[in-house]
Amino acid sequence: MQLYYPSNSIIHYMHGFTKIMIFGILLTLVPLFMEQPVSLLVLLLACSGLFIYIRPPKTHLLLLIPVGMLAVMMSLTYFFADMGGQVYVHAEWGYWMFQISSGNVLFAITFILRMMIWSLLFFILLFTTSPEDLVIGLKRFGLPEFLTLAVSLALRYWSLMIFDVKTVMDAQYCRGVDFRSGGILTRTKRFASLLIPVLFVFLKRFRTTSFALTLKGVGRKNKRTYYYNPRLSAIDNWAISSAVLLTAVWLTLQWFYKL
Amino acid sequence: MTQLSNPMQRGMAQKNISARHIVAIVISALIYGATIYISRYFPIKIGTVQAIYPAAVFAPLFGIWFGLWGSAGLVVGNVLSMLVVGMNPAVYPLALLAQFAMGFIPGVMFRKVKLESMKDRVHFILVVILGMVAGTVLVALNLILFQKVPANVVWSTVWAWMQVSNTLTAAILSPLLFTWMSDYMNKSGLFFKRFWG
Amino acid sequence: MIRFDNYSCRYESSKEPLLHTLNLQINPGEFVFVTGPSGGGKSTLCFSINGLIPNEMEGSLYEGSVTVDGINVQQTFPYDLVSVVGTVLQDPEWQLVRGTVKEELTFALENMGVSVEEIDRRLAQVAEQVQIKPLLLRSSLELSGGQKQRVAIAACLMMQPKVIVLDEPTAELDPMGKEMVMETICELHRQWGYTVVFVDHNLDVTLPHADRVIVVANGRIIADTPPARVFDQQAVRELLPMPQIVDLSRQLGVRRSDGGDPLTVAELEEELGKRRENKAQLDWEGSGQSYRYGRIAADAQPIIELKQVRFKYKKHDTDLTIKPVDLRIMQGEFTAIIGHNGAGKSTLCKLITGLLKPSSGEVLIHGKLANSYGAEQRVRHVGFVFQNPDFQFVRRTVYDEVAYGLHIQRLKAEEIDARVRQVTKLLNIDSYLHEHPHFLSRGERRRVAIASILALEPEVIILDEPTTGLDSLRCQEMMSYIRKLWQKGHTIILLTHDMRVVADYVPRTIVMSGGHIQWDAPTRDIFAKKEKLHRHQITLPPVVELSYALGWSEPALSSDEFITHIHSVEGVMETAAEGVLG
Repeated sequence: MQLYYPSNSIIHYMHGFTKIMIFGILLTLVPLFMEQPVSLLVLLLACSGLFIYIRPPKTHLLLLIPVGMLAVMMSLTYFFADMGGQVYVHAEWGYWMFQISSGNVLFAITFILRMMIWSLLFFILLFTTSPEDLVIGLKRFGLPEFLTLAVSLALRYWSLMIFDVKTVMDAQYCRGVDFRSGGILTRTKRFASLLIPVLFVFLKRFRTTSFALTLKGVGRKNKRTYYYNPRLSAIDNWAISSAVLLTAVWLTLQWFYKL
Repeated sequence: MTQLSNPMQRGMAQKNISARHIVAIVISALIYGATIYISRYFPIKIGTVQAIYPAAVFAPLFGIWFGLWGSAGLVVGNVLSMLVVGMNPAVYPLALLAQFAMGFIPGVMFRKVKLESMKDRVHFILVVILGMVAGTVLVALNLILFQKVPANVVWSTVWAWMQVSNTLTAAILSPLLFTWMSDYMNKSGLFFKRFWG
Repeated sequence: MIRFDNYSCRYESSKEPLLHTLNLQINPGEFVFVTGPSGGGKSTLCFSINGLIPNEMEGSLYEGSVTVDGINVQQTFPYDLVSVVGTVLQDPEWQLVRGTVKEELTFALENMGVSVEEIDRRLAQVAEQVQIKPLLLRSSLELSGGQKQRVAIAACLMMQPKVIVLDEPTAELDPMGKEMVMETICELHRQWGYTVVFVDHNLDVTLPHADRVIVVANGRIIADTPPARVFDQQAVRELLPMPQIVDLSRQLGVRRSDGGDPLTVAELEEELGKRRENKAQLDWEGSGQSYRYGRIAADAQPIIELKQVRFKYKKHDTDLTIKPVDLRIMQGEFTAIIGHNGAGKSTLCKLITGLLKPSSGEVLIHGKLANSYGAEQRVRHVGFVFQNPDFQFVRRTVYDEVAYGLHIQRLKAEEIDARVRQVTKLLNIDSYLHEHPHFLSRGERRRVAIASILALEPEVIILDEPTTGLDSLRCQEMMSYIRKLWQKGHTIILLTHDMRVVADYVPRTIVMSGGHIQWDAPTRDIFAKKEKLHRHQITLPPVVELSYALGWSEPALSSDEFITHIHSVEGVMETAAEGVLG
């Protein structure tokens, strides 16, 4: 999983903990309480500004497409409810209904904007943080050792997994299993013909990996040292405090003015 | 076997969290991620709606095979698959809890590696359904509370559809897959006999 | 250093012990080479030294004791033993658990709670010992197989163990990787005095380096001797095919002056030189060629044709993975494609099978564009057997597995049954028809994979590394099955790193390098290129090297050829000598 790319923006220099705190949590809270599309749009532009500032490579920009499509798809659910406003189209089948109204459209747009803000913020975090920094950041939140180790192992093996899955698909194709034709039942069956080898291939690796970990001293009861253990720097303290301040100010404003 | 007829000794028992627990999390997470990856290539759809959510089929199995650790693996796997598409897991806390429930509930209520009798089968399917229903309720709540999708829509469309794509699919396919794998899991010694490992 | 006292172990679930009661002593600084047939107990021996048995392997029972450096292994958890015994496992990919090489090296010491200063000190030392300084910041995903194993060895050394146990570390590597690992280990043993327990199948490479060879079969040690004396034992000769050099010396009746078998090309050459003061300079016209090439009918049609095929994986890649390639495979040919990892062998075959589409150029099957065949039609023309059979098994019995592809083709039940029985019989797996494919041994699993492709009756069968990880006896078995298929009229394409296999069995060889076909010629002509092959990282089989060392202009490809030739040469020389004397 190659989301991280090295560069020299300030955000790149921050501690994993800081970035998770700011982009993963604090700033993520803001759109949750935002109701007006205009304020969300302003926030989206601000986030896009930050996103451009970290200068992601072109291939990374493509990643915005699936999440955008997902947002649009999910926003369609609003058209199955009455969210008020002027009604343009209305249809009803017993319990279910379909309606296009100004209220529905407004809600759908709000939803899409919110989703896009979240994913931009999250991509800023993922693009600027290497997997090991991410794990170190998580550790600072007090995650237990075994869990952070599991996360970093899963990150390490993720791309191997993708490669293996591709090989399994190739191997089945070579036996004449075609994935894109046939009815839903045939497809489901063929789908299973991929899952079963995948399952076996990974279960067989269970032993190897578990032995490898044991033989590297996982499971010892002594206190562990951390060879790579960056401290929070002045930038981090400054960034966290300004993010906290910003969020607090925003929430207060929101409370009074319903932005 | 008694000590007399068998002079051979066992290894020492390990009490703390050891490598196999961690690997159980990792392997569950990876297979779960693989499933999500494959389903992208494999459009099993009716119209535009995903007819089958294949990951749901695995959730109960990992809960039963690897107990608590398999359930934790489901959460890790789901978080990783979210990372790839840029979804922040922090906005889906209940959906993550749902993944855990889908493994945890069957795992804690059914602890056998084989379906030996009709009773086992019924028991198995019941715990799978229970886990799925609980899980889908949590997913629906997440949509209502965090994504602010109107509640009546969630219950009448999303949740209702998940009963087909998740609960029904799992109720049918999980027992099949479980039986399919049981002789391997049994012989290879990977099955965790106790829920806590 | 290591002592087994009346030690034996077995699985709870089975009656037959993994290891029968044994006593063994390994001294400090020894290089012990453990070999024997697959499933005979080699790995069990390893795991009894590092304590995975009985303390990590679920359901394992033991008796007696193993002591390493005065520590009782059974009474210690394996993770507490890591500073005494370092272990390298077989799988180069999955035993590395961290993202970068540096993290991998420091990981174990972090777990042991060693101070950061000490970790730095050891890092500097190990980086020098194993020479991996340039790799330190690289991601493990970017390394070659050999480099990965080198990192795994380095990670062991970080814990400063007294003993290093290696469980088939070279089984999945290409020849360069094998050499790299072997070099590293020998260096550690010679220069730094580590005690090494090395498990492997590859006698050709390992035998010359070891101090002592232990042969394990059926859970018992059947031989424990210096390497030059292993094949003096009847039991060993029955179990293990000899490495080529030993085989040759025995057929020629050559022994070293100390009475042992010569183990390297140099040793054998020296002994041969002593036997006959005058080296045979007479040349020998290769005679095997005609019969090897004779099988293809003169009017054979090309079955696969590649015309100016180019390929790259990503659109914006500047380098082509396959540079313009022209290739013709005739019906009934047996062809090997060789070349180092990344030379483009697999990509080429994936283009032929249609898993990849060429960026430009044409792939023709029977003169028709390959793309015009659907997945189900194509399998009847080209079958591809993957290296790892586990990637394709979907059924619970061997029978169903072989029948699976036929079911997809919707054949009649009787037809399916007939074909399954036929191919399983041919590949000698008909006695396992109702076994679970995942519980078979590696060689058997691979045969099931071949059978399941063969049942589809493709005209061309492409085999990716069918002999990797098999012990030499099973490797011979596998190759004779493949030869049988060829003789039945299938066209065979073999991707392999094993040059002995190529020399012994395959008439036509294609050498790939940097994405294009370097040479495409009869195997004998390819091996006649000597040093030119080294440039493409191809190592010659020992018998070919020996032929060159003796100054022949054309090499013998197999032991038999070599013997025939040398006898004829000696015959000629004797008559010549008689003539002079007369």
